[in-house]
Amino acid sequence: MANRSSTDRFTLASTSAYVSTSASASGAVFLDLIFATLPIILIVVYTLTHAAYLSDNRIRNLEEEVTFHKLVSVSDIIVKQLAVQKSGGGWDSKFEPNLIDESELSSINPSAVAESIGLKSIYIGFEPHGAQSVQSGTKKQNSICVYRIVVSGEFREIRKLFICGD
Amino acid sequence: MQTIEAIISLLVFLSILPLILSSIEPHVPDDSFYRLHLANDIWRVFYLRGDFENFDKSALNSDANQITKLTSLCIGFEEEDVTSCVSDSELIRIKKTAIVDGNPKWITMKLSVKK
Repeated sequence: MANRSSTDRFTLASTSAYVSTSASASGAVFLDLIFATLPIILIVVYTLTHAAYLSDNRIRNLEEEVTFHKLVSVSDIIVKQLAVQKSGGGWDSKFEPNLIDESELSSINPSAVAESIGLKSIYIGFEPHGAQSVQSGTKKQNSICVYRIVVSGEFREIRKLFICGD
Repeated sequence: MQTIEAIISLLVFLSILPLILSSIEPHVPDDSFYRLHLANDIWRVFYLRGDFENFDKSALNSDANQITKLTSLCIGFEEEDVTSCVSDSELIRIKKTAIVDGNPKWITMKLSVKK
């Protein structure tokens, strides 16, 4: 009886030791898993954030470039046809590129032009002094601008025409 | 576990590498068409102001200086020693004909950034 009791005690002790060793081993694996996955999660999160930022940046740059090219095209039509001095009439009218007629310039409807090329708004005017002479000639902050060199007035003064848009 | 970690890290790095490389290069919009328009504008302004009649160098210099004040661009005529300021990097050059001393002559107009 005494022998059996001591054997039972031995078995109980060894089982308890085994359970204890197994629990500490699984705890170590769990910790190892956490420490191994944490950097991966951090790398993935950082990468996704950075990729989203770069992608947004690229889209914004492309949009600005498209707007810039649209404004260049509009400015070309303005300084070659829409706002220039014309002689003759109808089909025979002759345009004088870069020779701006201020009344023709004021008659341009910026919102119609902006709508036709898919921009929100367009601002046209002379820099630095003549902006008041054109109804839409106030530049807006943070808009993209292109400049054209033109002459206007009786003495054909050299002036800088701005066409801004967003 | 470490092998899997290394593989995932490598895959993530390789997937983002093109984006990182493209972001290192600053985005420079292609404005060559606009530069060409600007150069033609300036040539046209000289023409409208009558500076090419007899190729009046003093009038050309005066108008070139005025355009430089407005735009901070240097204007130079290579063959005729006309320049409005000390230039830094060249933007564009266009070649056109003008009447000099009664004869048509190729003139190269150069636009550059003011130093």
